[in-house]
Amino acid sequence: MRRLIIKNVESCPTVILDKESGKFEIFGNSLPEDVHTFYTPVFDWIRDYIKQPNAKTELVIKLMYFNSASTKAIIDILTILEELVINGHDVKILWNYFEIDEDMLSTGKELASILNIPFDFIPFTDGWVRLAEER
Amino acid sequence: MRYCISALITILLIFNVSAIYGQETADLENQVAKYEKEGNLLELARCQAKLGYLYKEKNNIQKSIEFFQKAVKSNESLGNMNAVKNLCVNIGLMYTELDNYDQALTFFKRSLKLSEKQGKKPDVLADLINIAQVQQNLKNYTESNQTLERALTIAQELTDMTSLRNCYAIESENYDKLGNQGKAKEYFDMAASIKSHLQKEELKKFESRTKVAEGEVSAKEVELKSKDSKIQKMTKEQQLTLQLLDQQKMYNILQEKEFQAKERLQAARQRNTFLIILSLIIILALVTISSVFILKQLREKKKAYTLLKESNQQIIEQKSEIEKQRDIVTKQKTKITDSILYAQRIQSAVLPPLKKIEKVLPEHFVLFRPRDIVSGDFYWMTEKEGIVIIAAADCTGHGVPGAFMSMLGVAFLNDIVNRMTFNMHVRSLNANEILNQLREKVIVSLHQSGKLDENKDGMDIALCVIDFEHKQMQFAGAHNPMYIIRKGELLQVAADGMPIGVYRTSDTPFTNNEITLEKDDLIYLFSDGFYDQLGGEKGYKIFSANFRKKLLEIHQNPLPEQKRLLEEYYDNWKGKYEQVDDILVIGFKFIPQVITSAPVQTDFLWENKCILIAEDVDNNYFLLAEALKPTKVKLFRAINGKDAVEFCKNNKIDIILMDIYMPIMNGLEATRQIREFNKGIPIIAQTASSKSDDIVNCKEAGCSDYISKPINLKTFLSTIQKHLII
Repeated sequence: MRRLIIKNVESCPTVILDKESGKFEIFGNSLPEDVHTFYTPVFDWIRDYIKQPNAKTELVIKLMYFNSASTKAIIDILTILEELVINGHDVKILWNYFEIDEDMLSTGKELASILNIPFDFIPFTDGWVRLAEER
Repeated sequence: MRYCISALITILLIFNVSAIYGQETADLENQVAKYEKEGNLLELARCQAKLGYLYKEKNNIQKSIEFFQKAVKSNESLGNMNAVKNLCVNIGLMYTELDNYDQALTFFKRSLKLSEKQGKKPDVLADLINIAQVQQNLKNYTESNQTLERALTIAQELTDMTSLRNCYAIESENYDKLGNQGKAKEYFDMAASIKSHLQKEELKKFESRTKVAEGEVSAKEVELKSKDSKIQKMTKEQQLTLQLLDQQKMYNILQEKEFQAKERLQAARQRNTFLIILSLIIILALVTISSVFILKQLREKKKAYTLLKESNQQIIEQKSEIEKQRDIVTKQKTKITDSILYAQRIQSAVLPPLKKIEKVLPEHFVLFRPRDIVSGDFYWMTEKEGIVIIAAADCTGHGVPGAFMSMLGVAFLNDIVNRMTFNMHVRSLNANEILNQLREKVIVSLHQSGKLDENKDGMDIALCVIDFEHKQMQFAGAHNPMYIIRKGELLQVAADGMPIGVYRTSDTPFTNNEITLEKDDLIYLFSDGFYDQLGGEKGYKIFSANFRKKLLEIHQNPLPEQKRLLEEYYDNWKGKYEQVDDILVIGFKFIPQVITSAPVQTDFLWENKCILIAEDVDNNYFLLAEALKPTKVKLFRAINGKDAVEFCKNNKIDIILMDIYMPIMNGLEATRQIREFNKGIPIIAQTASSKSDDIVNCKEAGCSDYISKPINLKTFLSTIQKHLII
């Protein structure tokens, strides 16, 4: 299937969904004015993906800021992936948070608690902005 | 042959010239006779020669030969061998003319002998060629060739190319006649090559000298004319005739040269013409090609120009269109902004007025800064009977959609708290219950079922219920926690990890946190807008940790000053970044006080009255007891019907509140028994609202009135009031 790449513009995160290389990433800031419009192609892609998923799916979520509407969109994404877990596929969420950002960590923990998907919590220290630009 | 012909032509020309000056043969013959008599040999010879030429001119060859021969004799006598030789050649030529080749040969040979004697090689050569020619005419080809071999040697010696060529030409003819085609071809080729060589040589010379030659020719012509006039004067002088002959020879040569030059010139002209034509063709082709290109380019340019013109026109049209649209957009923006500004007035109208807050929270601040005029963040406060309920909420989104949600939130909170206080005592309010109901209302009114893709809007909220009298506080939070700073220490009261709205865990009730407050506790409620602001050096968020640190740093300041410091901190952090969300931070100091603002039930004061509540279920009893507490009525309880009857018999009470369904003895039976000994006491039955049978039965049993469960506090109190007064 065709990979989906959305480059981060202003308030939207970068999204890389590439089945072939097994790269699934969402990173940057997520505060689009209209969350629904931004995330619709992402939902569609993942819905397509779970019909024929890879043996292993690791979704990297590395966000610095996201508004509450984006949280709901992320929950929707994870809810779709949850189906894979229920069907016995290997799925893991790599929840990256800036090491002093306890709010991001607690959001991740909250999501891990309400969803049936394994989470890894990975603190990162610095260079987040640079990282986003380099990609 | 050509040589002979050219010689003849020369002679003819001379005769021509002579002929111009009259027919003097008769005179000359007289003179001849006279000079013969006189013995003037010199003059005789001259006249005889002259007559020879004249007769030649008259085409009287025989006579011509006769006089030439006479002249020969005269000159021989004079010893003028040069003249003899020339005359012999002339006679030879005359005989050739008469096809008398034998005689011709004789005279040529005589001339040859004389030339050989004189040692004049060019003359020898000329004679030999004449002889060879005549021999050929005599069909003595082999002899002719032998003569020619001699001539050739001399011609080569003299490098006389013309003679050489003549020799080869005659020899070739001879061989041809002899049937030796090979030799004939060989000599013909040689003659031809010499001819072409000669032509080349001549061409070279004349190409460069064409003009000079022409000039020379014309000069010579002029000269000739002048010479002609001289000749006119010197007609009688043979020497001059000879001179003239030389001149004529030269003229002849020149004429030939001129002819050749003209040929050459013609060829050159032809070549030039060809070149010119070729050049013209090329130029024409080039012009045609380039004009095609130019035309094409022109056409393209024209096309491009037309396109450019069109697109310019389009741009102009688009520009005006854009300007129109811009005006429309500007108008619309003004309209929308005006509309939002007005909406903002409504939003601020529903927010609690500062005076109201000040009254219950004298030391407080509200840092409220919407991102876009109207806000998704809102704060809400109410005070009921000394109980203050205050909330800081953050609706999904900001701006207009956020504001829509916030209006809903304010309306729902008002409705929920009013209903609760209407139905039960304000002290029985639970903070978490308010959030549970709020969530319920949001889910129901936004028709949220929890499906993917559907609306999941809602809000995060921090809400607390503060009982100032008892220094008790309840806190419930949806995502948003609460901070208390007490004696320099920050306590965090955690919120539940779920929002107000549909969620995986929206069946789980919110947690009710109970905190005993101390004097001067500082309480902070907020949305995440403040500490999620991006900025600083690296574009990071403020983070809640830094927010707490900041609060601890500034908490000793008066609350309005704290607000200022927080704003300062925020603005510094934000710097050039944009505000990402609405901001709301509420801070207040807890000062224990008796709030006397709203003694709602002043109408219901039954200080000296006694009430008996017959109720088996503890909770129901406590609820009623709590509701009646402010009326200061004296409370008594019976746990079943039998108890109630007993209590009535032994105590003076003003009113009985009777539950229908009780163990041991139900309310109806108890009422009947009490009525047996006390007809006047008001007995108010608590019935299940739906059971109309109960109401009938109550009346039959002797109840004064009834109240339906669940109990509405106001109806309940006013019902009691009604019966107490009576």
